Amino acid sequence: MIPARDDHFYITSTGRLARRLRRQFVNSRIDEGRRCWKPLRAMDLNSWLKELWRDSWPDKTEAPEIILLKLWEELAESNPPPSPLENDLGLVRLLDENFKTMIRNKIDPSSGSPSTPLVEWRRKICASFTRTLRSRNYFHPSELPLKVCREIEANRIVLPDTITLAGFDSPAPVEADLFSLLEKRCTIEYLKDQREKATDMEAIALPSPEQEVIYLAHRLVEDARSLPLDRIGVIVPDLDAYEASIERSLRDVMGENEPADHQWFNITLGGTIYDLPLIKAAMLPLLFILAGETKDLFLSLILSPYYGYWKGKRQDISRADLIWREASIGSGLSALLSLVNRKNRGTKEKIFHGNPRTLLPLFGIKSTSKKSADDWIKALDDTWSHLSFPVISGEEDTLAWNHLKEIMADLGRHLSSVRMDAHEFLSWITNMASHKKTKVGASEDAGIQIMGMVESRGLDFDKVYVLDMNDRSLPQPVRPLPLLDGTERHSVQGATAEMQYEFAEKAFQNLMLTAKDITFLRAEEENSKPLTPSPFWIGDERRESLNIWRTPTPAWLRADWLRLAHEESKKAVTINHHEPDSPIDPETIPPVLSMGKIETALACPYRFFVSTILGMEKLEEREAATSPMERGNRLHRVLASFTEKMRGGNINLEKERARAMDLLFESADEALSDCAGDPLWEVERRRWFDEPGLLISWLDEELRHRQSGWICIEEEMDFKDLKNENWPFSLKGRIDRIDHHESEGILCIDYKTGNTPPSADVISRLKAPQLPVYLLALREATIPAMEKYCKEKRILSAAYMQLKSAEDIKTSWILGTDPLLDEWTEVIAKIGRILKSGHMSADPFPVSKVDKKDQICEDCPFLTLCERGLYSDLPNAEKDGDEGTPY
Amino acid sequence: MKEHLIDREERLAALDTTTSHHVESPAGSGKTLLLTTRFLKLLSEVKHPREILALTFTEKAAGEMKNRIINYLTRAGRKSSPIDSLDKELLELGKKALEKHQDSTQIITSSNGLNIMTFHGFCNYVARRAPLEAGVAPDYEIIDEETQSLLMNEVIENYFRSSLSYPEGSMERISLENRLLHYNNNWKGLDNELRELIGKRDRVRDLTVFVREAGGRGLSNIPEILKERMRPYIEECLEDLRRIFTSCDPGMRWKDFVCHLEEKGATIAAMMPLSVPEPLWEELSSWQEIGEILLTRSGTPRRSLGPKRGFYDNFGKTEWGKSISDMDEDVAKRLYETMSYPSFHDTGSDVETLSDFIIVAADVIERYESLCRKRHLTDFVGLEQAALRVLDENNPSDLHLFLDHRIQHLLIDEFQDTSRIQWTLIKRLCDGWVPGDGRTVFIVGDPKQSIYAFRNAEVALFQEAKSGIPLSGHGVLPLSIHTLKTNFRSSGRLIAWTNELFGKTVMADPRPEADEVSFSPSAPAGKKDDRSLLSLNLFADEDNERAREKEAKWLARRVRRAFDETGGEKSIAVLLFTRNRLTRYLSAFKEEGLPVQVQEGLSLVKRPEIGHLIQMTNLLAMPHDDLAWASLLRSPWCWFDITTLLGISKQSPESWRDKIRMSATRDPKLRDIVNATDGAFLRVGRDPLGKIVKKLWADLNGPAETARLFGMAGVANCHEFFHVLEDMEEGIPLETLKRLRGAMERLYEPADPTLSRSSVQMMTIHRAKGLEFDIVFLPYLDWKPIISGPPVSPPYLLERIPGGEGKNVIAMGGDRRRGVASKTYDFLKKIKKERRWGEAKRWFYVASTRARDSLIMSGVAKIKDDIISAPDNSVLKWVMDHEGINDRDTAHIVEAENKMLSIYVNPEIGPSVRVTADHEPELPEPYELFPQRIPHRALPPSSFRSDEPEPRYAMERAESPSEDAVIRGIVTHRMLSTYIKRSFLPSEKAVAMTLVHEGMTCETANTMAGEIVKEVGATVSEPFLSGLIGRSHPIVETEWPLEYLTEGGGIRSGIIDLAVFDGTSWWIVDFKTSRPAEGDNLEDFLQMEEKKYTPQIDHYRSMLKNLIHDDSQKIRAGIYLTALPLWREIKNI
Repeated sequence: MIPARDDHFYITSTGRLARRLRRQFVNSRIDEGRRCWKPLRAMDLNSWLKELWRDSWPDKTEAPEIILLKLWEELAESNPPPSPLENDLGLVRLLDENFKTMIRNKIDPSSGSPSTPLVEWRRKICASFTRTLRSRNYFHPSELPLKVCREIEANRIVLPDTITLAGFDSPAPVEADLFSLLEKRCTIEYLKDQREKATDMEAIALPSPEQEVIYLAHRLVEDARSLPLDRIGVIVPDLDAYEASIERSLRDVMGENEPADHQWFNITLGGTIYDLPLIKAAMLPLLFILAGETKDLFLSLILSPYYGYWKGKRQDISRADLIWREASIGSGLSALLSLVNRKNRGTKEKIFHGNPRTLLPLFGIKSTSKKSADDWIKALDDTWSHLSFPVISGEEDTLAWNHLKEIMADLGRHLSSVRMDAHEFLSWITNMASHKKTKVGASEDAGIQIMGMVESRGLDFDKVYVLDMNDRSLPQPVRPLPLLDGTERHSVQGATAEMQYEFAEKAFQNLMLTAKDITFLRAEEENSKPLTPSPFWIGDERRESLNIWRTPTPAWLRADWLRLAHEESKKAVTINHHEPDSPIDPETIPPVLSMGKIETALACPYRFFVSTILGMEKLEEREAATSPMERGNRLHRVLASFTEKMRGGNINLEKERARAMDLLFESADEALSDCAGDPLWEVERRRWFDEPGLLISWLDEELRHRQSGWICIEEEMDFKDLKNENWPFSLKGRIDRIDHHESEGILCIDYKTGNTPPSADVISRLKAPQLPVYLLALREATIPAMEKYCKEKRILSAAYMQLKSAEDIKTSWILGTDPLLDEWTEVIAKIGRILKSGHMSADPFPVSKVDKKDQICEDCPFLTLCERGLYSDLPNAEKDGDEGTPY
Repeated sequence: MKEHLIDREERLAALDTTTSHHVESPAGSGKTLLLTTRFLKLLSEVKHPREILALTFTEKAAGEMKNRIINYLTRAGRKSSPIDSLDKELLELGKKALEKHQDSTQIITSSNGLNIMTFHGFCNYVARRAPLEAGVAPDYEIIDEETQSLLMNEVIENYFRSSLSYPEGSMERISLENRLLHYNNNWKGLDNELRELIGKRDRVRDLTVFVREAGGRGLSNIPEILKERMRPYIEECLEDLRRIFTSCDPGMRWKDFVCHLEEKGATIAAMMPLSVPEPLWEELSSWQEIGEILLTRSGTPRRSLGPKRGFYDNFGKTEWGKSISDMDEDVAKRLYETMSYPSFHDTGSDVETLSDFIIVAADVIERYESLCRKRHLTDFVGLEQAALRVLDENNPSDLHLFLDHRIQHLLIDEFQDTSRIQWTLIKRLCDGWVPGDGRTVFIVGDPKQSIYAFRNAEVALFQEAKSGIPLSGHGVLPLSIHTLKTNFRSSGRLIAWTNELFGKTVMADPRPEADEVSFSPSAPAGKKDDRSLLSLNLFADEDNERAREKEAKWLARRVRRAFDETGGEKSIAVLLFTRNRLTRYLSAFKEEGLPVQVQEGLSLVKRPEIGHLIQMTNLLAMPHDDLAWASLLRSPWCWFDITTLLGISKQSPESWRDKIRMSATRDPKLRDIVNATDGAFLRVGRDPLGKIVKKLWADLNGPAETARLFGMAGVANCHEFFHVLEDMEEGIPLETLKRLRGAMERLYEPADPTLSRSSVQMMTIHRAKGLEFDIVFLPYLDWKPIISGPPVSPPYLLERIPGGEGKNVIAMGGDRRRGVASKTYDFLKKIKKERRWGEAKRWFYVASTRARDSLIMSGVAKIKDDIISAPDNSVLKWVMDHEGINDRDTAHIVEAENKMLSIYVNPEIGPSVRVTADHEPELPEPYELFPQRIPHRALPPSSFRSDEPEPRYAMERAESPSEDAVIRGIVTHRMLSTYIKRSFLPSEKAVAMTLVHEGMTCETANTMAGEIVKEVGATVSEPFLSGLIGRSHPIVETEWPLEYLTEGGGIRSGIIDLAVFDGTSWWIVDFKTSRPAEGDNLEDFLQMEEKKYTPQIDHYRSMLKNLIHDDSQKIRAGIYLTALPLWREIKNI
């Protein structure tokens, strides 16, 4: 770097170079022992032009971004883009960017030889744009160099005597014109680059971009042992693509930056304002309304730390999600809140702070009609205010909040009376926020400097790494510029391969001056796709790879997590299991078990422990509509009500079918009474009754059943105290229906709205206890109303009735023979003994006769609670008849 | 080119750059070399490098081609020495190309300069340049799978919600309800259907247009349209049948035959058509009647031809009877096939169901595309459609015309994988060409390697292209046809065996309607070491499971042996038809201690450590997820006994988070966990979720515990998970979680990073395409292609009609409530199955031809009473049938060892040769390193203020000074500076514009500008100030920047509004635009201002003092209140 002189005025191509010159100047002054000095006059070209323009006290000014966008939008409204393009902020921004590009490249955006409809449209709209802007005393910021030139030519601007230009290896055409003019008016010097061309170079090829970054991190730590961090530079042509992985790796091997004091590294790029969490959180109320008031966004709003309104309560309130999931409520603020109101008043109180009116501001933004930007700003601001937004924590939040205030102020200032809907309002905010870059708390004066090609102009380091030396980034891909025609495109920098090459060549020459010692890196492949080296790749490459998992370097062992893992891995010769679970207190087993619970216990004692004793449930994802369980419950209700009414009315189904149908409809109406008119339940009703209705088919089946002599005698019969001397618990349950036949005896029916277990699961595999237990309850006469039937020692049988669809009604019967029931009594006793022992280890079907027991684990929701899930290889995905998908 | 090659002439001909070519290039025949050579040759001839467009199907292929070409050009440029004669030829071509393009030598050595791209890359290129014609937003982004999945969620959820809220009886609502009922009110089923339809919307577009056109009135015509699509195929089949049926008895003399039966009083005669039916669909039932009369139910010619069947006694012994029982096999087969044809009256499904389907599909597709347009997004289907629009033949865009003018030579690689849309694109690109105008097309591929039907590849297009490229209005662009034969890759033995197997068995008698292709044999390139190994290893056991286990164990040991024998020098691949047995094989390899690189092996989400990290993420995003909390306690990094869990569950609070918190008061270990999670929760919503989860994992000793239980591979899995989680960051935890869930489904465990790069790789056949290995293991030959893949009876079938120019036919599966599907549905299902079967043959071909030296196959066979047989419809059956060992005694098979293929039944598994790991070196000490101190940060003197308390509800609404006042101050300062420098005061209009520029509204600016001009005018004419700024003083500086090193080493900067040296004293003037409010006491106000600005003035004073270094020069400093106007000196303290 050349020493900067205080009597010179430096104009640089980038702000970073100007800052670097100024910093260098400060250092030289301090080295000279000075306490106070006039700072070096160095600034980037754009800032200087702004200053010159401002100081000329013109009667026209640069239009703010928002004015520009709004104007484009208005013009595109009155002069719509050719179909199917839509006039939205995306298109508007593209117009603006293209306008800027054309001005910079001295292309008249408003005229040209006849071209495509899109180009013609652009020309037309650009002409109106320039006219209208002028009439409002504005001009486009890209026109500033032209404006300044005119002012200089008219002698309305006072120029310094001598100007030194730095870092302008590829000036845009308007800049080149400006410099020529300056040369005529004052002394122009070009900063003599005293940097030396690199002499120590190496080229290293790594297998993949991931390896490239891992290797880079390793080398940076190595270098940092002998060089001041800020003397090491990393230049990445496409920094966007590498930023996250470099930052991640450097955080690993170096540590987090401490912005106020010490620094490890500085990456010049930064996210956009829209990426800042505070901004995302700020948009939640609007997003919530626009997305149809979804439960998830409401939950996000409640859980967001930026909303002080729910401070200290948000964990509690979030449990409302359990209620919403259970009821399959996925959207609608009123629906969500009224359900909480019904089921858990405490939560409701917490949501509302006791006063339901406090959420009203949220509804202030719930408007489908258009209103002015001012009204929107006020409505959103009120919502924020009521919900105590934002809770600031740290410099980044302050910065984000200031940015947001700025955007809102800009909107208010420039669009105050413009009418828009909520979606357009949100678009304005997000569009403004996502086009502004921000970076918090990093210094260009300390730490390893990581930057793009442009920022590296004019800088020098002791050691530089250049990444991604592949031809995808050097030269850069050709710019498509769709709003320009062929001739125009050929005048724009970067619009042809030739221009990009030329640009890359200059950039590469600049790279070669950034340090005497440069390491060029490139990845050979990405996702198995071979990458082609950049034409500037210096050749004679060395192929390297770094396996931090096998042979970690001292540099990478700085990553705590990796070091700890390696240290532990060295110690562990074999897998060192945790201590096995000790038995639990048998007293914790509930004295009474339901059918579902005994079935779970039979399937796996550990699953029983988790679901029954710990009371654990998986947080099931909400279905888009009515839940199968709810549909099943209502169907059960219809059937129970119907059979009861039939019996009560002493109706003969065969002879009085029409009446029976009426009763069936009546029962359905009752079961659906609380959701009458709900379109979702109307579909279910149609499933029941529209041809081929499930209930119609069922009625036919019922008729056949009754014709063969069966009479329904009870429905929904509870039994509570089914005991056995060998069982450590009693069983309880509810039988959907009980039928009687003069000669066939008693039949218990269980309606299944899903699949029924195969008979073998009941008879031979001993997996499905439900029907045998019902029969045991009957045999042991534990059902009060059934005593008179059971005492007579009738034949007992049970059946599943599958009611999946009209065509899928089937009944599978089992005969309740004493041997079968005795065998089941013993099976339950065995599982009882296991539970009583307190050993609740994961053991699929410990007492049933089942092959491929492991298959139950595949769908177990509690695998992350289970030792089996931790240590054994997961069950094999291979199933009989499943030949796998070949892609 | 080597002279001895048997296809030398074909190869040379294919390099003729003046004509177009169609080259069939079987596996290992040097297709890429041919392409490279042609490209270089063309490059040396064309005026501009971008006159050549090379299209490939994968990024990988494009990258490889690009690399090869650029490598030759670069080497030619460097004048590298050739390695052999072929290399010399290519370098020579490279040299010529460089000479031809001397002006752009550098350009052609960069890929920007060469048009080598994938089809999708080309579509993108086209759409970006002509967005209007493409119908896309000019700045569109291509979405990834996660984004697409989320978009679909949004679209479908909105669709359900809004359609059901339409009034009862509206078309949209009825259609949706009907579709739901079709699914038996199973929402999930319909949701899946809609997702799938969005993915293949290009295939139903020709039908969904009916919904929009004519307000849906055309919908009733759809069944007729579909029928017309079916007709040509069915009638072509009937035509074939009629041709062969009438070439032999009884068809040849059918009338005589019927008359004979009538005469003999056979009752069946009454049921027979009097003449041979015409090959018309309407006459299908007559054909079917003939079939029923002449054939048994299983499709064989009837032998029982007695009165029971309607014939007469002893008919079977007559000439006519014999003509039936001895019926030609082909005639019988085709006649039997007519039984599966849908009748003319079968509509595939009723009009209503089909209409509902189309209405729903059209609605959802429209919503999806509209959302994509609105968000400026597109997927790959959208991209292809966009390119098609740009290259619309009826309405050519400027870009189309430009491309037509620019592109002189088109090269298409892997043409066998072309889809109908891609073929259309190619045709449109060549549309304006004239045969003989010097422009050429070069198509290369191998139909036997077409394995991408699931991406809409149509292998039949390869054949179709042989007839040339249709040019609108002027015939076709002819292609000269070449078939390469030389195989440079495999050993002679391997080539001979594959020629035999595929030529005589697997690909013999191809059925084009099932997309089957004919086999063309290859010949070895020259003398090759033919000690190559070719074996089939059969595992048979009455217990199938045991046989599978044996195969897995054998495979691991056999691969280990091959690895050891070759010293790890040769490449070994284990190729899999599906991932289905991956776990089993990997377990066996693990047991054997053999390092294997697995490409897309096991699902990452199934790893226990990842399951726990997902739970940790759930917990942070949804603190009410009790299962996630309990899982944390059972995670490898926490692990509590179930007794503790039980104790916690008994705590009174409802949520597990609070239960744990309560229990932690007595348990230090739990307390640590609570502290760690509390720390994490402080950052949830503020920091990226990935960063928080990783930190929590580290705080809970996750790295060490993961390593202890799962080794470094487990830690690497966690590392991968954190990357993914960070990539999925959305800024809102629940939204991040949603994206993560979608992404996890598609992630695989990375290759075990602790293994040194192994020469053994395991991958699916699809992954292996385009690769070659020294030794290939091909296990699981018992795979049954037909029963694999998607469910056998999907709710609807959308299938391309054979020979129907890519037209699709839809048939609905049975209503879930009824369960009966139409005949058309069954017919399409059959076509689908047959195509799948045809494609499986090509998978097998691809797998078998990857090997250079050895191909070692294995599979599980059935065995009963020592008779060994292959499972029906399996790949193994082809091999065993071909080798004549199916349904044979195992003893007989042993004798077959000296055949080309060595066959072993239950081969010895052999002892394990597991090698113990070398002693690993000690871990080095990590380097010690320190961050760098940030040097002196320059701070303005006004920056002294106390820190704000945090956290706070920051609403700096009323407290902050008015923004307009700040702007007024800025502009006033600037005006004063201008005046001092240039004795010039700007106009009111200029001041107003400046105020606007600084952010003031026009209205306020116009009002305030006058006030400011007045105020500044008064200020500069005020005696004190006008005296100071008079030009007579030696030094007058305005807006004077200074920097100053403080005692503490910090730097303060400041801009002095006005500094004047009058020869003896320095004057520092700081302009202030503040003013007393109405009713304020002036002196009080002045005192307050003085107090407020004293520190700042002091700093200016000491800055100046340090600058001038002259104690004799007195410094007088103070504030100047422009509004009053008034100078107030502030004395030095």
